[in-house]
Amino acid sequence: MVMTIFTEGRWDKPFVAELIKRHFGEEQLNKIELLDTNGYTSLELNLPKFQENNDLGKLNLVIFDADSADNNGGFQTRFDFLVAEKARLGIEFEFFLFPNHLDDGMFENLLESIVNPNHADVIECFNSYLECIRNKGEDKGVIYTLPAQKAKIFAYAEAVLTPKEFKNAHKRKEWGYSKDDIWDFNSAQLNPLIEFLKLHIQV
Amino acid sequence: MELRKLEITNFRGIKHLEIDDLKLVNVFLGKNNAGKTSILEAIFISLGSQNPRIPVILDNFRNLLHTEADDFRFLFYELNYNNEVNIKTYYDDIEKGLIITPNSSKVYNSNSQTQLIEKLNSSSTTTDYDKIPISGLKLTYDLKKKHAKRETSAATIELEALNQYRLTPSKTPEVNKGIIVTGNTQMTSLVPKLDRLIVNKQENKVIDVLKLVDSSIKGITLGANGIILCDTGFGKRYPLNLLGEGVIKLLAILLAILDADGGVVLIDEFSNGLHFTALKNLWKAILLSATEKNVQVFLTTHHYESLEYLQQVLQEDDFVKFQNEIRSYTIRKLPDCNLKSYIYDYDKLNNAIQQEVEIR
Repeated sequence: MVMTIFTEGRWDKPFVAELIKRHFGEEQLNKIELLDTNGYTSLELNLPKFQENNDLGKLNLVIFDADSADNNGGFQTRFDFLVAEKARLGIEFEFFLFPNHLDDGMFENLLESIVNPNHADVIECFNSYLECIRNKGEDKGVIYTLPAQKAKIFAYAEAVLTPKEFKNAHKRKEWGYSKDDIWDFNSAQLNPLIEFLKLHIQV
Repeated sequence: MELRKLEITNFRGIKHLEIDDLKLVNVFLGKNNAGKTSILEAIFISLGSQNPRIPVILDNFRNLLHTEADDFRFLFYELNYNNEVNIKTYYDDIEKGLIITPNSSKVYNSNSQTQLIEKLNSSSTTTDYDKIPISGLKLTYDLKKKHAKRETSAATIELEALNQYRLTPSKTPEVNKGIIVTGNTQMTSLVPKLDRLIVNKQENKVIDVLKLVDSSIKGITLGANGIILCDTGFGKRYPLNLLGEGVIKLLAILLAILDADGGVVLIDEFSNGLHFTALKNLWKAILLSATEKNVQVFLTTHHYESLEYLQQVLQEDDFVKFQNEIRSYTIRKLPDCNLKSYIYDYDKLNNAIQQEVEIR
């Protein structure tokens, strides 16, 4: 293993693995250890692994959500937090923040942006559903909690995969990334993440 | 009295290693040849200022039999006598040091006649020990208690003839009693420990745990000629030797902890020979008996399964209190050949197992 990529959650890990396999090849993927950190505040729990990699000359990459002000995040907030964590813990790593290392958002925002155009209308359906809930609430003077971005991806995957595919993918904590008719891994939306990985993965 | 910190230099395959934050139960992990067993040996030899034979005992554990004085070099990093062994141990109020250097006063060689040579000043930094005949070792123990003067005294071991050693213990008192449990358990070493347990009517403590491996075991006793016998409910008692490696290993571990009373127990490859179903209860037995007897335990393993069972035990209501009494240390060799330990407390170990991080 020449590097470890730390993702924020279990669901991000298979996605990053699929992206590396498709754009850098399986041989490169086999040289990379992928670990999830169980949340952006849990870097310290992985401190020994970061230290070990630093000492052995292996690279640490961190791929987390930028999040937004709604959940005490946002690109700049999370950026500053990770820079501060590096100094506090005395470790070295390079990082990328979903969706594009520029905007607020999360892994699921990136996923939404790479759905296969043939099924983009499924996402539109979900957006209409969100709008419907919001309007109904306004009519009654009630603020309904809107389903999270994760629910949108869940609904999309459940709609476009067969029940068996969906069940198996869910068990593996992924959304059928190997299926080209579901996800567009050639989408330009992936370019910021691919460019970040290119800086560190020697092909 | 618990060991808190350890620093080893030039011992066996260890060029340099520091281990901090030692607790009641300490688990050393690492790849093959990472130095795990050498760490246990370093702790053991650091404890034994009254027993200068320990270097030979440790080599025998590794099936290294001394046939000539030059075999003392097995203890030195790169087998080079010029690499002076230095082991520093830190307890709450005590610092203890051990420096091992070769002695060169009288030489025995199985292939030649015993010869006398001029005794060299072993403290000389200019002596090239690899160019002179070596007769034995000088083990200089150094003890510094808080608010007390530093005490320094050397022990020596000299090979006089094959399997005959002239031993001079150090005047430095031993801080702790140490018992080492290796893969090659000698049944004869278990007998006195079991005897003491039976005299104190405490044999049920080991029987309860042995039942976890073999539920038919109902009793344990000593037979003639130093044979340990087990009552398995049949007409005759069985020699323990016939009950398999797992039972023997388990008994060796428990007897060591129960016998060490306030001391240190070092267990090499503790889960070898044990079926996974016994591991969870073995952890419980180690934690409970180590606490009861105030014994600090150091062990090595490379079985991920044993760590998973440890994690499960520490989540049980009765064992949550032990979470801060456990540390795991991954030992890695760095590019400069020094070793480094990476410390996993309970939370980090728990996280590593959940995320399937390779910490062995």
